[in-house]
Amino acid sequence: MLLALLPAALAVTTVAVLGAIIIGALGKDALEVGGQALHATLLTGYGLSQVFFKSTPLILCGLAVAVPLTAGLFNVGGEGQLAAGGLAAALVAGWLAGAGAVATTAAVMAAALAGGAAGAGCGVLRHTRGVHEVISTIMANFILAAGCGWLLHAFAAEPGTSHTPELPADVLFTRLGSVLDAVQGSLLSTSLPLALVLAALLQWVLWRTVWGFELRASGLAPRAAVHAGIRAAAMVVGSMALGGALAGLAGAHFVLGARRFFEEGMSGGEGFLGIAVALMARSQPAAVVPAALLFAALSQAGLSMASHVPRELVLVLQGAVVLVLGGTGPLVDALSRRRAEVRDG
Amino acid sequence: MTVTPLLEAVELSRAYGACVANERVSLALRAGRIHALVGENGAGKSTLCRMLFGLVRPDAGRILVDGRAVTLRSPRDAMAAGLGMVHQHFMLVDELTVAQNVVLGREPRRGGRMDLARAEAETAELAARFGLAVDPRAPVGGLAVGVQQRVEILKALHGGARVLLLDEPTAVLTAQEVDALLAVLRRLRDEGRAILVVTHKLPEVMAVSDEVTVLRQGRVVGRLDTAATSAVALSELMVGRHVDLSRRPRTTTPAEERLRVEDLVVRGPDGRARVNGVSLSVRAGEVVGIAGVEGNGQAELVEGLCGARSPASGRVVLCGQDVSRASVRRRRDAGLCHVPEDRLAQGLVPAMAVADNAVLGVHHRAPASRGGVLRRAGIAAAAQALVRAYDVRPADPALPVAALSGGNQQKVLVGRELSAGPRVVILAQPTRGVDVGAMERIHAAILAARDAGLAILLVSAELTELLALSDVIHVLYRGRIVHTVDAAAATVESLGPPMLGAGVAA
Repeated sequence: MLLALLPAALAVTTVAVLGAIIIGALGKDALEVGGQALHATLLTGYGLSQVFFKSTPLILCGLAVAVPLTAGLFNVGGEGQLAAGGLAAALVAGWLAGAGAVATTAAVMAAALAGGAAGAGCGVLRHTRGVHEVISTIMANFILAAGCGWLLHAFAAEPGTSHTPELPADVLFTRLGSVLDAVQGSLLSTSLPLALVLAALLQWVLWRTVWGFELRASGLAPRAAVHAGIRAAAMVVGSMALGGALAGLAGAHFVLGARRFFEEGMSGGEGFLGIAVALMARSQPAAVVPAALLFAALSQAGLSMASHVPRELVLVLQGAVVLVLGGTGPLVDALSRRRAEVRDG
Repeated sequence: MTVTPLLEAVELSRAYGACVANERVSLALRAGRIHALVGENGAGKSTLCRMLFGLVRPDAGRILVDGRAVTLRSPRDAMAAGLGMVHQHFMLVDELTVAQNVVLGREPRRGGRMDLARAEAETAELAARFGLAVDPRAPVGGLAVGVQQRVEILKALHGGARVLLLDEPTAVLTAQEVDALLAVLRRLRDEGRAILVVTHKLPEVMAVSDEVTVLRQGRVVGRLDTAATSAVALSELMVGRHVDLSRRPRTTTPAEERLRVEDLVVRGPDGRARVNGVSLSVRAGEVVGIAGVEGNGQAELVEGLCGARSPASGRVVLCGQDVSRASVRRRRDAGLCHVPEDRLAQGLVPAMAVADNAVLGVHHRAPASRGGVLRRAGIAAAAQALVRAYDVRPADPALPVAALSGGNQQKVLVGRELSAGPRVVILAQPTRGVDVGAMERIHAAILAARDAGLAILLVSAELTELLALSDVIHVLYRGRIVHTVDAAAATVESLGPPMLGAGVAA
């Protein structure tokens, strides 16, 4: 169990050391800058609420990768699925403006459906035509980004702008500040508890239900799963659809919980960062939450250092985290294999 | 015997965590002798081999080469000390030629470049000297398994090996290739090399070795001269009790027909018919055997029957119900269970726990689950029952299946399928690669299932297994049944010709 924390611990250490070296090289006092950033990020109400706010789409995008990965499929199409979900949410919420929670619910479902359809399409290609999902989801990212951009500008944009009309407050996610004094004034909305509940629910689904069992079995040994009566089509298409739906929900978060409208490129790469989150969490839905919080804290700390260091530093450190994870994953596997090694005759 | 052994292990011990793989194991390999190391899967044979070749460090004990203590930190040290190992899974570069593989790591050079002509000459000379027919210029990837193994042996000899360690060398060979290998080993022995053959196949031990060491649960339980022992005595030493693999014909009369196959045609991935009009019938309480050289449609027949591959035409009737188009799950739920031939790829999920594997395939119904939710208690109880009934070792359902020996993995697989409440069971190669103890238990389970009234279709490449278990034997040749015989009247000799297509119009 402790072994599973090794990559995260190494990643944090790398960030600290590498960050200190770079800040030092820029002629600043690394301890002071780092200490200030840490304080501003983790020890102030504003900093913490920002970390949780930024973690929301990361949790959803991390789950969007983790679920298909359980079935042995690598969904790198989060970015496109997120865009499809965001546009669907904006359109549906716009049509139903004034309907309040009904509109919000419908918009969330539309986002999940749109993202899910995008994911399912790649799953169908994989199952029927053998198109590798990494290829198809990467390509789908381009198609969906361009397609959503075209739909936006052709039909949905507010004249004179490059985004959809701003949505009225009644269809947006409820601000947590309105019910919880502690987070008053923060950007946190119901999308955060939604993401947390989904993470917990998926943890249960993957480890305690028949469907989750079948998903894990097909991920680990696809042929044995088929011989055990598990339908490969249901696993491939189902897990990709669910992954896409989760990324679509991240799109709904941007539209209904942050921006109030849909615009091109609004995610800023969260769909891709979700891959790093899922890898760090080793595809465990519950572990996606702390992994997403770590990445969100990193991003927020970078922002709070913006007056001292260039903002690209955060991108460098995020990249370093991914590299460390990539390097330590196999290490952990090897270590746990050695532990499991029993007499082999 | 006063000659100093070329290689001697003195009281070697090695534990993996709480698991003692070798405990004070001693072994001496002498020049001009073939030494067989036998034991069940999990007895510690490979661990000993790995220690002798520097792949694993012993916890205690000494290794002597020519009577001098050595420390082997890596295979490089072992090779420098004159040891060579032929691994069960070959360590060859497919893209390189035979000669290039043989000299790999100690290439003859001329002016800074590899001297390919000399490499080929050296390889050809070694090959001629030991009777290992190979073409030094052939790319290794295209060679038959038996020839690749010769390249492995040449590689070891080229490195100057005076002691050869062979880990399960016959596991992947055909019968003819085995004979050729044994001849090579005899010649190497006569040249004065010391040879260790690790195996659990006793006929080969009897045929080729001069002396035998028997391991059981990590300890030496016997050191014998081959001439003074027998395969039966060795198997009893290995297992620790009397082993009976003799034929036990059925005592009941077969009842109603459970499985009927009519004109079944199954195509392979390339679209060619691999099963070409097979008809057969299996009744309750009988074992119907399918014999044949591998690759004559057995795999496709099994997949077509269990539903993993849909038949192109023909019918599969299960207890009167046409299931030709039914899914694997529907057939399973209707009482058709099967043990696929490749247990690690098709039968089990190696990374999952024994408990999870014990319910795979029946996980969607009680007691493993209810209403789509897994029931931990139900799974644990099923796993416990299986582990106990089939003597799965170690008896820990939480261990991943990958941590079990092949024989124990197969017990989990066969046990799971037989306890799923089937009416028809299809068994493909049920004892492939398992040791004699596990084989006996699996055979007993199959016969018990037959006596309990199950209909059993047994597909096996082992004729002795078919003869011991079946009531009727069909011979499959190029996707067709070309010969059918009452098992009581059949012999290994009588099945050979039809298996090779004798008397069949091509």
